[in-house]
Amino acid sequence: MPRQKPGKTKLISLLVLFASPYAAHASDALTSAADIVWVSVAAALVFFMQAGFALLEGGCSRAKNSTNVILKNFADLCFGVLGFWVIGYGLMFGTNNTGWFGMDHFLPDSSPGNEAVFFVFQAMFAATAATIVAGSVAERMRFWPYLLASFVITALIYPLSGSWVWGSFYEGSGWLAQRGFVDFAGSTVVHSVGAWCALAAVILLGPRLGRFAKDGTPRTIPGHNLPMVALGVFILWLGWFGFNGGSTLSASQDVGTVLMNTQIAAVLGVIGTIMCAGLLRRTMSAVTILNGGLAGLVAITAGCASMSAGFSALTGLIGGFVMVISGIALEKLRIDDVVGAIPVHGFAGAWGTLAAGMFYSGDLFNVSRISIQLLGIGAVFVWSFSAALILFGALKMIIGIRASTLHEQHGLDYTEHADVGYPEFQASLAPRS
Amino acid sequence: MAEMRWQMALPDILSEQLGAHAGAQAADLWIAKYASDAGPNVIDFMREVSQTLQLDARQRNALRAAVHQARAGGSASAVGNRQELAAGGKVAVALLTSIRGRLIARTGRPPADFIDDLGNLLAARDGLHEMAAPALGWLVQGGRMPDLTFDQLTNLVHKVYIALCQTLGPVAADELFYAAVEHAKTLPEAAQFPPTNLIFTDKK
Repeated sequence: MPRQKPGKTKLISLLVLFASPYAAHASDALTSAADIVWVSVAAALVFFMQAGFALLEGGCSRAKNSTNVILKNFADLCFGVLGFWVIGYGLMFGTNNTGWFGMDHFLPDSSPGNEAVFFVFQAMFAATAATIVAGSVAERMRFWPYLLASFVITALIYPLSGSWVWGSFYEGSGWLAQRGFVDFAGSTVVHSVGAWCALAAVILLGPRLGRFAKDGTPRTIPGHNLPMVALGVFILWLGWFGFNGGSTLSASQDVGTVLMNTQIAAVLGVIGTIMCAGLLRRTMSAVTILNGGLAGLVAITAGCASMSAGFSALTGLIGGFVMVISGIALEKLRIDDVVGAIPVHGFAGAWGTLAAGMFYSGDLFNVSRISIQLLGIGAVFVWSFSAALILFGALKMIIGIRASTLHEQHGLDYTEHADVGYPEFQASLAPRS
Repeated sequence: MAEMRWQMALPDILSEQLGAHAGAQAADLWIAKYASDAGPNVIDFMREVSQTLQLDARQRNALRAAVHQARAGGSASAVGNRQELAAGGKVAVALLTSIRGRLIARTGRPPADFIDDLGNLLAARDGLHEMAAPALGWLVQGGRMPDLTFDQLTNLVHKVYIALCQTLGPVAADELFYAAVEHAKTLPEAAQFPPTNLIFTDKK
């Protein structure tokens, strides 16, 4: 079947859509049945990404911590959606006259239905930002402080910067959106925010016991289940079709453009990772290659609706390189990121946001647009990283965030949940064995 | 003996922690199903009690605290018991000398990094204080193990684990440590005093 190029009119309307995302008034959006069904399905796909994160992060952890990591993923969804419902949604999408945050629509009701669908879809995004942190802080962060942090991230940190870019669902718009900042589905708004929060957390937590030798040489701590990691990445990839595709908020042909760009960038992300690892003579570990796909996906999230397939490929390819190189840099700085979430979601996300400005269809390499993209990337970094530093710093001072070395030895499955993930295979670890 | 003692003490502690009604129900379940086992599965017990009595988070914490308290009490009373102390001491010696032997097998002698790290850990505020030097000397050179209390012994085992992680990395440390645990389990005394008693404590 011959592929149809989207017409010029459609392309222009699409460009208008992502130049000021969600510019339409609430009553104008999600009114047709097809739109509502599509965005509902997309919300379900994005929800399923939580399962992908759980498998990826659980598999990357040692057996003695796997249950804890998966439960963190599960519970942060609950705390995250609660925080977003109570405060976050209003801050992010409420009437935004100042350009800095929304001021109404807190605790939104489930009627009208079109707004409720929009809420569910966006709540899944908020939960995604929060759950990114779980992978970075795995194996040494205590459960309760983590849950409190998830609540604050989705109630305050994520929605505030989100309102700068997407805060125009009802009235007004964010200051970055007014300047033409492009982030269609959230390379920066969702992924980088989660990653910068994770960066603040891992700096305050410190590395796992023995992760770095005295001279700074990093020591690999392999996860306990690579097939789980691979399945997690497959699920995330699937979920990304809902993440990016659903961000059109309409069941139109534009979805096809978004999905194709998403797919192209993801595969090129893997290829870029393999090439970069080969060029640097680094081991092409399974986790690195699998993360390459995620780097491509994160990178294209900002510009999936505004660039050609060729530039999507380039965005994904470079996303793979950025992920590998930034991962090496973090290791040199003795920053212990268990699953590599910061390179994948933070650095590849920042690159993708920049690429969305560079490769903007019909306006390639416009310096002014690129400057605005850089401004947005920087502003969101400064806000989310410093806010997360304060959040995790306060939690550290008040209740403590780091598990003791004794608990690290036992594994957080037992010390936090009185459970053992794999009792048959952890005889030496199980008490009373 | 200590094993028996903490199992017998548990029902009372459960009642203290969970309240008279829930505590009595948990104690009944313990006595009916778990207390007669040679090595009762505490995790299964806690899970079953939590599900059967539909405990909330606070009660589950209280339950966990009760079990820990009972086991710590049992362990502490083991110190007072000569036979138990002898068994625990032999198991500890087997565990630690096995670790030392495996370290020496790797490099010819315990690595200097390991000795430095362990020395610092033992001399730290939460270390072994006046027993730090004798304990380190024994671990490095062998001979007769200095007289350590149960708390000091478990602290020493944990500090050895940390030093192994810092010196070898956590993967090699886990392999070496748990190979030593398996070795210690083969001692006849391990039936009386399992090496996991030295590892799983109620400390935070």
